[in-house]
Amino acid sequence: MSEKKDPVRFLVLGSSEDMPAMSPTVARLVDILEGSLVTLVAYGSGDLSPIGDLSVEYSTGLLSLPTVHSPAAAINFACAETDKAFFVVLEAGTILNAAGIGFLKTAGMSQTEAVYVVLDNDQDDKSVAKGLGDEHPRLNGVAAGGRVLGSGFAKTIWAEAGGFGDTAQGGLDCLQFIKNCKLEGYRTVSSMPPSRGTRLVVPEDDSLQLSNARSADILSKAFKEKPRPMVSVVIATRNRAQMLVESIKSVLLQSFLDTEIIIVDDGSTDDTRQVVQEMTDPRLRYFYQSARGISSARNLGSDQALGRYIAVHDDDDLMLPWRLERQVEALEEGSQGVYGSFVNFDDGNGDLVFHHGRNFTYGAAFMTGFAPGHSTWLIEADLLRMLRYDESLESAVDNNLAFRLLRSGAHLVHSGVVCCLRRVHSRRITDVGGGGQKTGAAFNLIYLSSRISEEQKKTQMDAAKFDWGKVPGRKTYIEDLTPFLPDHLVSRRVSVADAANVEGLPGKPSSSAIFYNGDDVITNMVLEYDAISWQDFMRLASSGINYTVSAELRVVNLDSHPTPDIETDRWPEATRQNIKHALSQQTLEDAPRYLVLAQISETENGRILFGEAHAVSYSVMTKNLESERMYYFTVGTFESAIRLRTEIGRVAGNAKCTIVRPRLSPLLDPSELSAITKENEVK
Amino acid sequence: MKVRWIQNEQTAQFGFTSVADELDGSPRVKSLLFDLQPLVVNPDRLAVAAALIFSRHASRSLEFEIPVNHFVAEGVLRYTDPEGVWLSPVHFEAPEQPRGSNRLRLKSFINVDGQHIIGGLARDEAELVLTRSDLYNGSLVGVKRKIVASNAWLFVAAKASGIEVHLPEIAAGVLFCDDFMASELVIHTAEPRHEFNSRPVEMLLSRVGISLSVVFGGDKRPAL
Repeated sequence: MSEKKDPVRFLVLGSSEDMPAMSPTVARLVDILEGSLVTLVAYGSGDLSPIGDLSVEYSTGLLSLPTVHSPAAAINFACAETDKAFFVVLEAGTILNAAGIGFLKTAGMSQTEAVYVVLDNDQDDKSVAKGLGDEHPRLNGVAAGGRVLGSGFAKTIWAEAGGFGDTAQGGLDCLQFIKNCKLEGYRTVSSMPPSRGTRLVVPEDDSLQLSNARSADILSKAFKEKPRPMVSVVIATRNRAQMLVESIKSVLLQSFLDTEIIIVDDGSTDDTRQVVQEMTDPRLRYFYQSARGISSARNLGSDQALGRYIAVHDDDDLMLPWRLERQVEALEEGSQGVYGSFVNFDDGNGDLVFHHGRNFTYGAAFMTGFAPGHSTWLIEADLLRMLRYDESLESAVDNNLAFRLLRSGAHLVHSGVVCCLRRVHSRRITDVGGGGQKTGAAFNLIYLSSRISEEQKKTQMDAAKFDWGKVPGRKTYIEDLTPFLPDHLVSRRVSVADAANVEGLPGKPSSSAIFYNGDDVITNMVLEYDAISWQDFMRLASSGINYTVSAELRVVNLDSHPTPDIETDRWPEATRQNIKHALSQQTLEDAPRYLVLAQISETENGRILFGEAHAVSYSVMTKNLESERMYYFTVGTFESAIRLRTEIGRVAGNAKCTIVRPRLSPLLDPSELSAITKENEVK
Repeated sequence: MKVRWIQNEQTAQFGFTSVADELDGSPRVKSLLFDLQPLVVNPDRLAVAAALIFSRHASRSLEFEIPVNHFVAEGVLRYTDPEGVWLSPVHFEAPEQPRGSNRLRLKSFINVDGQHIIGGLARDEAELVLTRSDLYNGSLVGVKRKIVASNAWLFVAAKASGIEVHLPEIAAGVLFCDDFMASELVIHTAEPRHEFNSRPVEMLLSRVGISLSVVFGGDKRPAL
């Protein structure tokens, strides 16, 4: 068969150190195939001329890559540059029998959509297999059955899988490649006995450079177009330039690097374009459209995404540095994506409110009416592109998409990860959307629950009541997450145990320490940094270096002062009296208890349903003669008070709302309280 | 890959679901779902429908809960040539044939705007219309026409062409043919005739007594 017509190319990979093992591999191949079907891929800085001589001897092709030091990068380059439809990859030292070679060649000729492998089922070194199995739990069968001796795949599949990567030991990571193909929907077909082979011992190469074979600089040479990253982070934005900068930086500082970041500017009129373009990271891609709404912007982002998964991220939120790494790890077989917990932070005073997230089921949807936090989703890009955000809806769009995913049989799982800090501020869409959000969510729920009996709904809601995602460390979230708040909210003090690894951190160490472990004095020093910036702290947190951090909120704590935006003593006399009355209902033994005071205009009041919350309300007239409604709630803990205040702010954007701790408020003089209590007792 | 029939009262959806083995590829979603249950769920026809949907992801075999006729299993093996996908378990009893001889016209992924579904049906014709279950919930049942919401459209591969574009609706037709006493499926395609090799699918369907007709020059497939 002539070279032009044959779609198959056998690639034999080796460096100069592999030369002794390469010769028998090539000799076996050309025993069975024409030399023109074989290309030797030589890489590394050593002397590659013996491999060139080998190629002349056997009349094979040769691709010499002296500047490439990674086997995966070399193979990626070879696949990109070779104009064939199907490749078979063999590492130097692999010797297949005739049946194995025939199996891979036939696979290439058949052009079916699968990845073909020949396994070393006879190998004795099960420890190697076990190690691989541990690293690749989804492919235990492959690993336990033996090493991958040879693999065959269509060029299109190779491109969709994002090419090869290196193993931690610096070899070609065939198993990860198979796993990526599997996620793309491609099955793996292994050869049946007697298609076996053996692998010669390839000399160890201590000098092998463990460069990341899928890093952008190498892949940009290997792929003719931009390589496919694992995750595309999509951020839709409009006129939030300053918040967007922090939001993007929080993504750039992720510990997971195989990403691209797509910014879709939905008709901003501020300096959004400028601030994005000033950020020179090659992972950033900026798109502009005239203002068409957030659904349209998100759809454009999905259309442009090259990644296998899309991570939803909002332009006002801060992604925690571990989010993408932990979420990719949490992807399950048969699921189409993951989501997670998030923490709201008040951009004014740094208050944190934890949102756990239930497991995403019909029951949870019936019970809450909402889907789990959209800004924590990591979802298959193809699926998102197919379903798309509904651009005809004005609100509850993410809720709509979530329920349509449920109806489509898609399965999203809770990753058990706190993913992001969501900024609570006056321009949030959740707040600005007001009642429209609830109405939209109600329509979505009607669509989802149609044809399901009330009894079934109740059963499922009961099951969902305690069906939470498992989130380790939930109880310490305030302490753990405070350091990740923006600079205007916290000051940080960081201790790092290893001086050598923290080069580049700004500032000078303020103290040091010497350890004594019983035998030797360890010279490592503890370096402490005051006032470390958010950006440097994020960099430290994503680097894997051990550190300890303490952080203090810059704002004044509510325990000592009421929230400063509302002057409680300016509230109407009727309000004061009612507050006193409310307090008279509690004894001093109940303290500390908190009051949440909310003053809401009558127009917005209509949207609020407080359910069974303990609330007392009455109408008041403001100085502008507008009718407003005053609510006050007594709640037991500060956390509950924060949550309630956030909820009121969410449903009534312009509500004046504050939290008062009774015994410390100027309103609540202890003697006054005592008098009221006595008065009530007399009555 | 393991496949089983599901009747999910909690979601009011019916269909089959798959569990991928280690070497299997992952389908886009693991379950093919309909908002209406077929009147009869014949194991052989279920196997053929499952093969149309899942065999491209299956490395070696499709395993069912109920035995499949060996004649059907052999048909799937040939359909998946050259790698070959085995069905199991199998039995050797005579296969059950469709109950009627009507023609079942298949349409899928359309909006229910009336335009597509008002049209004459011949005496021996019926029609199954699939709509997207992420846009509509439920089904409409007429004497000779059923409109059923389904996620079948998700199983059309991104780069599908030719007969591959129609595999999900053919699978649905195989499952619902008894509802209409049909033994012939009719698809309308806008795909070019010279690129349309329906022969392997026809051979597979013949194992369960169903034939396939292709009408070329049909409506273009709507953008998904």
